[in-house]
Amino acid sequence: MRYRKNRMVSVLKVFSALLLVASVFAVVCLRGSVTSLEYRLSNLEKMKMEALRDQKTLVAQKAGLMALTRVEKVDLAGLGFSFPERKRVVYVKGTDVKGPYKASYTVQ
Amino acid sequence: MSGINRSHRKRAFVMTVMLSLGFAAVFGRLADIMLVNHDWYLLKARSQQVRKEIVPVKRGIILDRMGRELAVNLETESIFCNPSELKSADQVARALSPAIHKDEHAVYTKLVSGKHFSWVDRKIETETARQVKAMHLTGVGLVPEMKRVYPKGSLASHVIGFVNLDNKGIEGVEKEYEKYLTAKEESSYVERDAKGNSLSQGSTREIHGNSIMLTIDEGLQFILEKNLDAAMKKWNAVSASAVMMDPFTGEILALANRPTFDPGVLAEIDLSEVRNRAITDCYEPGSTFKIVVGIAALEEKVVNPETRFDVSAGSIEIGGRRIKDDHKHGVLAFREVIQKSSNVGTIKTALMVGKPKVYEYIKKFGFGDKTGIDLQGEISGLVKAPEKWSGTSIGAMAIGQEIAVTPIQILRAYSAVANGGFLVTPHVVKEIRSPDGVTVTKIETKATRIISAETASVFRGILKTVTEQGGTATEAAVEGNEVAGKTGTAQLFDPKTGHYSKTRYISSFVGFVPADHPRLAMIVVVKEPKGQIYGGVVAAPVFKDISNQALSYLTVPMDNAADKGLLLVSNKEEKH
Repeated sequence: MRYRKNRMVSVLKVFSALLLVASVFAVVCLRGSVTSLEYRLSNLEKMKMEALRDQKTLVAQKAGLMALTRVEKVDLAGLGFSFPERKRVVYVKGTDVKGPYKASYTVQ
Repeated sequence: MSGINRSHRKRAFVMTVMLSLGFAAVFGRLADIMLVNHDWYLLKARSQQVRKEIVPVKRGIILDRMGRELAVNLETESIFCNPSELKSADQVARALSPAIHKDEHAVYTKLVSGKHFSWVDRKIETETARQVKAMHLTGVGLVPEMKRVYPKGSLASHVIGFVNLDNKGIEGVEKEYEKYLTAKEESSYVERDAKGNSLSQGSTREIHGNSIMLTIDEGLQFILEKNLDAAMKKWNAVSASAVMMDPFTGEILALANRPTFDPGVLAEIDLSEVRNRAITDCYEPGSTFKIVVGIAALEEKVVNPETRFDVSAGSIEIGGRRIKDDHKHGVLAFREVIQKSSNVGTIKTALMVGKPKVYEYIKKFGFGDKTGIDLQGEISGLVKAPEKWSGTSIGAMAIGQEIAVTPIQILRAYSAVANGGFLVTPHVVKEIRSPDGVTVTKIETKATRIISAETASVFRGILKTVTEQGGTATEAAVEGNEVAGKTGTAQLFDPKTGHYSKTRYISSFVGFVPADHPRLAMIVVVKEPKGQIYGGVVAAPVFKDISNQALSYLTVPMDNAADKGLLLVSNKEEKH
């Protein structure tokens, strides 16, 4: 009986020692994984920042390309881009009158 | 046997002592690190692993009233050097010079200019930064910096202003709204490894300033500037200014001055071109100022539009000075006095109104005071107090002499006639938005009633006749819409002779359109045009051209659109 008890204690001792070692390794391994993830995140953040930088550059370029001054310089006359003659503009005015659509050149 | 045992015991004892000493040393060191000098070692470790980094502040962007970008930021890099770490400044200068397109000697001077830090080149192109990085020069480094970019070039430069190399507002909205556009700089701690690679903290920190939405419309600004350029060229003028405003709200829709500048090219900015002449330069307004006496006379019921004035003499003597009309007229009704811009008729009206009332209305219209526009450098102009008036003053002031005003003051006065009698505060900022796009501040319209709606309506009718046949500004008439306005031709004072110059003039036109339901109030001022001097010839056509295009841009129908069959009526509820 005493022999069996002593054996049990020895096994528990070994098991505890192994558990301790395994825990230490697990902690080190987890810490390593976290650090590795931090590196990956850091790289992704860098990529995000670069993408944001590109976005800002593109927004500025787009604004520059759409500037009316530039559009005019490109070729106002050649592309036929000009303000419409007011005489030829037809204005559509909304009314609250109920009924079928009454669009016509005659003002109701 | 016992001798051997003794020897073993001795060795074991020595070993035990040595091991014990060894462990004691290790534990002693551990105790030193972990307990005795813990704080010192902790600090040392942190200084190696954790670095304090300044989070750069990104200046808020500036947008036009439709949300189009007028000022944005670009992330660039700047080259710096630590002169104490440089091995050979000569070699570094030789390597850097072609990459950054700068003279080798200039680069060398910068490299040796400081002790521990000096800028070599700031806000360089991305490609140049890559080239410099690839050189791996000891003592030379790159730091990220924000660069202010104005994608529309010189468009609305006098409103937007510009920033210096340190992104600090120097002029315009950039300066006036500096505290909203920037935010307080903060720092954060970043963990780094032995090679200097940073480890993520789980979030990227960025600090943004608020965005500013202007009242300016890029389209209207473009139209205004294009026509102002054409006028400068046509009349070979010294300078010119034009301002377009919503007469009901005081929102500045477009504002331009010539000469102008490109805010994106700091090195080429000439300070004389930076001046926002529309608010910083005062001039004698000439006939456009007749509105004050005209309104005072109507409001105080001294005259009515049909009151007759005999101006057949063509001149009037006041305080020992003879003031003439440009053309002789016979007997004119009060409305014709304004329509034909008769100096004699206006002076006679001023004499009927009297000195105290003339001064009261000058002040009512805001002359001699700043308009309160939210831009830097506005001046109040010059208005003499009545006790300092000479015998001539009442006559001179009635026709816009002996008084100095800014174009924005005149425009504001005419806006009061356009909007039914309210003096509005002009402004260029519509709203301020947080970096998330939420409105932080909305600029409210400030308006004070200064004249009755009836007087404004009557005078609006009189101003309409100025652009009709018989008026002085027929060239301001816009096809399809009635224009109300007034011309001004003022002689410039020559300080050398002490008299008014006979060759140097300021020509102006101020008005609003459509006259009965105004969408735009606008002033055009051309300084020292060559070949012609009259506001009706020089400035009025510019007003006409701008109005024509602006009304088209704003899709304002012609007054007679219905008669011409240009108005379709649709049912709003019609949906398919």
